Amino acid sequence: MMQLKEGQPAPNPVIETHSLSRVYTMGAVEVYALRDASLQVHQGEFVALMGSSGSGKSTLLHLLGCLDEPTSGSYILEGHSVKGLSRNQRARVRNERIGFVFQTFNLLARVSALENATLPLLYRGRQNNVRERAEAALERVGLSERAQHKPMELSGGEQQLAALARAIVTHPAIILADEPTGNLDSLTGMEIMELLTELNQEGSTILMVTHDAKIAAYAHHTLQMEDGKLLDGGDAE
Amino acid sequence: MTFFTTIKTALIGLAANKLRSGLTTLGIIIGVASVIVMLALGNGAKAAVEASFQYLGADSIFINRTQTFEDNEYQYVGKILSYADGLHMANEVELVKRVEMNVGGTGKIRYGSNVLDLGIAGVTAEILEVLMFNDNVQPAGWPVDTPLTGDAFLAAGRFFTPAEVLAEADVCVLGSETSLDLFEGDNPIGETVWVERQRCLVIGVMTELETTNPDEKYSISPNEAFYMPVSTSINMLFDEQPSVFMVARISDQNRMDEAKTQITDYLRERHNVEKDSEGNYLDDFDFTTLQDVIGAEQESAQTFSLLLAGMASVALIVGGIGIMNVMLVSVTERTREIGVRLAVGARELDVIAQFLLEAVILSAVGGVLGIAVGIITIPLAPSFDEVTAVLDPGSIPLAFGIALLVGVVFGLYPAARAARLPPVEALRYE
Repeated sequence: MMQLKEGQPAPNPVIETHSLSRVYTMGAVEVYALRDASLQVHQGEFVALMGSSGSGKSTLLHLLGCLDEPTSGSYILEGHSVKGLSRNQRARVRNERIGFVFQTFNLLARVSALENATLPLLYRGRQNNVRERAEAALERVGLSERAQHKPMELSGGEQQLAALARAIVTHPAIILADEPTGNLDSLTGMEIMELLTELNQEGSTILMVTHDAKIAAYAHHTLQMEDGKLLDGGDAE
Repeated sequence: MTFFTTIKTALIGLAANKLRSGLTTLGIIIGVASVIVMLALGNGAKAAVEASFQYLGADSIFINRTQTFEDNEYQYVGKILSYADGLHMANEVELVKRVEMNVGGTGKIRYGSNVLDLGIAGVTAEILEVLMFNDNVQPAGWPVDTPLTGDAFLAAGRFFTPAEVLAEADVCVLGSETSLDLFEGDNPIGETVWVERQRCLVIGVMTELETTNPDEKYSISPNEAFYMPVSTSINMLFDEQPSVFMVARISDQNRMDEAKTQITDYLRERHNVEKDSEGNYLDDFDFTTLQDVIGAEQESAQTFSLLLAGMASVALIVGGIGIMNVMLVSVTERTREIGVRLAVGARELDVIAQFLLEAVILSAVGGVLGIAVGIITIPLAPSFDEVTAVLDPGSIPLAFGIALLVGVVFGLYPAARAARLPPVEALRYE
């Protein structure tokens, strides 16, 4: 779905999946949370994933984020198959290549915004300039003034900004956002979306789950999901 | 994650539930403190054993008559240990420097119209030294922590000499009470008393003595004593040669076994010890040394010590279960946090380290405080018999080590459980 100008070579996709499925076995019943999802997301794209609740969009997001493993199908992240990676290898992929933004922010309650933004760097072994990099990330989302405040002392929007800082501190290949505005009022939600748009314009690749068409409108492309399937094939074939 | 950040993270986690962390630590504190106190009691028992046999001296061999248990009673076998056995031992056995002997008898003692029925101690000249090292009695009102001297036991006159023992001199030394009863305050030195109708010259009077241990009630007051040379007392009080108590002092402490062999050879010859059908000597004597007694007693003190420590360890294990319980609750409560950490790239080991460290910090803090509480409690611990608790320095690292071990063992399962959570489920947890 990348809009290619003529003569420009198609870059390798950041994300490429083929027939990705996730089946949950509940007793004797097999439930297809995701069925044969094939898609590609290219560098610099901003993709929205829409669908009603239970349509499988979160399942897809979790698979793309290496938080879960597909039952079948292939997933290639930046040219490397993620299949068969160990738990620790997937942790490393999440740490280095993926930035998560959650609906409920998921900040650590007992430490400051700055320390929350530092967290991914701490799981990388010994690193230089950890604090400076986290400060830079907070600066980028415009939360420098509130760096020493704990989540309880921040507004919802500020908390999501801190979470965004945590997502971009590692300069990931892709930002995966799960209903990033779902817990925010519409004004604050718009601020978050404008920031995501800016980050996208600066080169970040973003895949966002939402059920709000107004929010989805910020993206370049929208993929629809229903009953575990991607409706429009939603890809760059 | 670096070690420092992991510690910081663990501390933040613990600080979030101060009361809970504190109560959990309390279990370990009690456990560690009991280990310290119990080991101190065991240590005290050991020290008491050592103290109670100190008078034996490392250079002493007690020579006893062999007893057998027959017809429901103990019976002596073979010949008696006679005064002559002891007298010649010092000369004929190379390694024996000196032989101390004593024999107890009773007799009527008369001075003027005063007559006493007394226990009479026939002793060798070193008895003051023995009394001194024995440390069961001391001159009345003797200042604490001041070393005793032999002379301090004498109020007047002198004690008899080895030469007088050898010469079977008719001399005696009186206990302070004995002196008062016989002489009613007059100076007894140089006076003659009658012992079983035989003359005996008083050459010394003992100081008034008191027992050092108030728990120990002497059946006969040490002040009602009447000392004579062992040789003289045998002449005056016994119709036939009695068996005497004998302690051989050895000139070289490093050759105790050799000394035993020499004494054995000497006594076998004197007693004409026969062999049984299998060629083994049927000795009618045996030996007790400080090493024998302390070895056996210390072994039982050691067992006692281990038993106590074992009981205390139960408290520690209960404390450990407390830690495990709290950590399991904590892992459940913080499932979401674990999910976030996993999402941003924490590996299993990172999560294990975080929760294990929380458990270990709890147990380590409990360990340190427990050691402090234990040390403070030791003086308050009940003392029984002569055993007072004495801190065993080795018990500090031991107790701390056990506390850490408890933290690791009981922290591992909750930590592993946290680390194995599926990230998606952990993130979804409400």
